[in-house]
Amino acid sequence: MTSYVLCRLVKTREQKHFVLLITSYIFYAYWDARFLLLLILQTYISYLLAKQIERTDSRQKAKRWMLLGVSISLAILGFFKYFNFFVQSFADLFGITSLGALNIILPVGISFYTFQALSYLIDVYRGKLKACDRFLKISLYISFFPQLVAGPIVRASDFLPQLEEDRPMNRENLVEGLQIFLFGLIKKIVIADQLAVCVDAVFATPGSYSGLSLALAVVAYSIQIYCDFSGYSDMAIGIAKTFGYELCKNFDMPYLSKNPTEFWQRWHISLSTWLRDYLYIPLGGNRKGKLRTKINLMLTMLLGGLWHGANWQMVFWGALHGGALVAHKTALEVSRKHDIHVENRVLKRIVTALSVIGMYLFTCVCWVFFRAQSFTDAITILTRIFTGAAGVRYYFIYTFIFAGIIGIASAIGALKNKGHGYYPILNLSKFWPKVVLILVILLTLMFFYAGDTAFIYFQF
Amino acid sequence: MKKPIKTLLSWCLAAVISLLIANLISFFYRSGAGSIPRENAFSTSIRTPNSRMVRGSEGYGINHVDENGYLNDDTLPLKDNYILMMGSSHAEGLQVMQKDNMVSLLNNWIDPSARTVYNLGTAGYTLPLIIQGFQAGLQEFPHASAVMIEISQLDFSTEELTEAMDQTQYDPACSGQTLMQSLDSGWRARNQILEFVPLISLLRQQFDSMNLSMKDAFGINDFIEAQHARALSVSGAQAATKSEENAPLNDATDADAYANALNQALALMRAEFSGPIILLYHAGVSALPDGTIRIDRDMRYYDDYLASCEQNGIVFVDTGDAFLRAYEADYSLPYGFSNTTMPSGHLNRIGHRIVAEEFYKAWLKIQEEEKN
Repeated sequence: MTSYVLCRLVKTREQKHFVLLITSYIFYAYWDARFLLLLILQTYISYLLAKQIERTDSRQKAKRWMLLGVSISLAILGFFKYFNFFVQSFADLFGITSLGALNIILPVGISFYTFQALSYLIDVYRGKLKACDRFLKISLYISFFPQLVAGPIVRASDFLPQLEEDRPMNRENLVEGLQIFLFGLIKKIVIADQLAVCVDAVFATPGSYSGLSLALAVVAYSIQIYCDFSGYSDMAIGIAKTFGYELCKNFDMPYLSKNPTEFWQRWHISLSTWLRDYLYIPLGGNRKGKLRTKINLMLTMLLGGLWHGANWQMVFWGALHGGALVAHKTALEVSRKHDIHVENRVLKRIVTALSVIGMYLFTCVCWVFFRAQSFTDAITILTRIFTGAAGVRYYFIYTFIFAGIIGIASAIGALKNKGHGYYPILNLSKFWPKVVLILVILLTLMFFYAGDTAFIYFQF
Repeated sequence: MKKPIKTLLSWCLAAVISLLIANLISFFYRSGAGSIPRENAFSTSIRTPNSRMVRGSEGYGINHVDENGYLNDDTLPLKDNYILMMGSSHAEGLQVMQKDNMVSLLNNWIDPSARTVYNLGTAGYTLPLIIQGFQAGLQEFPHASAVMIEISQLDFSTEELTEAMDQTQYDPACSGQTLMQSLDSGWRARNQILEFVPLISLLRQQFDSMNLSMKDAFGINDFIEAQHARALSVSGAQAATKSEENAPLNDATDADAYANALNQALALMRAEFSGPIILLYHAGVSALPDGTIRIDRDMRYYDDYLASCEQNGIVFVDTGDAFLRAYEADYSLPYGFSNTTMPSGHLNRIGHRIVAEEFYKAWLKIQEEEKN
């Protein structure tokens, strides 16, 4: 709020950027002041090397500067996030009892701001945008506090041009931004945090619970992770909007996806497009034949899984989605080759409904590996679900309540916005929307989960 | 009318309507929170007499508060000689419907036509507090023919048990009915407001539960914890040596002191009441990764309780085995609810039933012995 007031009071765009930058650094330091220096270092490296890339007249030299920047950034990320993982994996592979592990703390948001820094460097190299002439702008882009710690992964080509304009901090942006923020806040502190109560308990001792209880806990987790992550994205988008900036949409009703390809166009959109543009396409994309396309897809998803966490479970989760994407691509090729398609309208709707349900169930199976504390636990959970094992009957009531709410919201979105997400912005010039807004705020205060839970994606 | 004033009025009216709707919802989720503090009686506070309490954050319970300020369904008359149920929030049973709590079940089994058991369960009342108010409780309710005490923990300090021997003296002016009549206008108004605007206590509870500590800001907490850990690893080696030398003597002295204090406290209860006393202990339950459960009995003091109860003619009941049997039969757990986690928190319907069954079995055994 102080930052907003100051931004309204300052006279120039540069002053506004300065206020936002200081706010962002204070915001980051709130989590851990030690790693603020790392953030500034990462920013400075990107700033310097981007300028070098632009100054160089030789394409080859520019490529070397770009690769240097990418290597340094990935090395920093690799050290903090993956060092112990690789050491342990090496030790396990060769049966070495202990190679020792360093007590490395994972800086909050490192995966996000590293990817942003990389996107900046690569886009400058590709000529997509010009290097920032001022350190202030690149710093603000990388450390902009709404999206710093858990995304969305904002592209430099989307955000830096906005810094060149006088972005309006007017009443409309404030009202709309705050409503989007509230929407995200409700998803996080009312829905996600409440469901975490059930999910944490069940996933801690899955062997105790009945198959149905486990299935409901998996559904609860699918809602929890969606609301936790999309809630944070909404809060980031909302706050950015109050300052006049537009951040990209990061979720688009992903559980309405009919197939894996569509899922990754709707889930964590900023990451999937980043991986597409900076990993999949440079690997060759779909330009090098069918087999290579599938290999590229699989590699991208494996690395995408690894991005989520330094353990083999995450890699496996990525592999499952990679496999699904490959299978979908193959199915499309076969159906095109043999001209397989559904003509009948009713049948088409049934197929669509079944596809949506099937994709949701597959996503839930993948979430089991994502969330379970070990492979063994994941297998235990799935086995107990599919065999209908007996155990403690624990049917968390909020799973049903929130599944119903999400279901209704999805149905409205499907009808009102052709299957795409939307923000329910209230027209506060009318009376009843005012009642709805105040009532929603009161209900949030009444039912938010008051315990202690962090954002799931903070750990990435 | 000027636009700003019109806008302001519009927002105020919207706020009023929203508050009314939210308050209405609160009636069904959390309402009836007023309490009256008092000094010279069994408990240091009672609920607002002749009111209703609804609690929905852990389990779901609608409970009637009687004229004495305790949670009793007074539809049926209370017998001339009754059993007093003393205990904590588990006995109070706010998390279940009143008809499902241990007292109602006992009443139904002993005699469905009249109430035999009177519930004095009070949140936070562990054994030392129960002992401290024991005499006052018997004076406030002088026709008790037996006492049942529900406890869920055994670990108290020797000092707590010793202090409990300093018995509260009952003052009839502190009875529920008298207190209600003598309540000052301030408390009356407060309780009325809380009764008609339950939203206030719900919001207060929410904010009281929040952790708004700044200690995690700036990584300070990590540094402090890391430094503590370093300090402990240095002093730990020194302390370990010292504790190895002193342990046997210190532990034995502490254990004896505890056993003595416990025995004296239970002996005091026995001296104040000659009728049957049943002390029921229900330990916590933990779910284990292999699908079994563990009864978390506090074995440090368990034998002391067994010995002291036997010495003072108090029946000691442990529900641990009953909990295990229920789990083995159909995976039933005595704690936890569909809106919290299992098996944690308060006794649920199943837990109340198991506890009531154990109390009932002990009661029948006493009756049998008295007949013989």
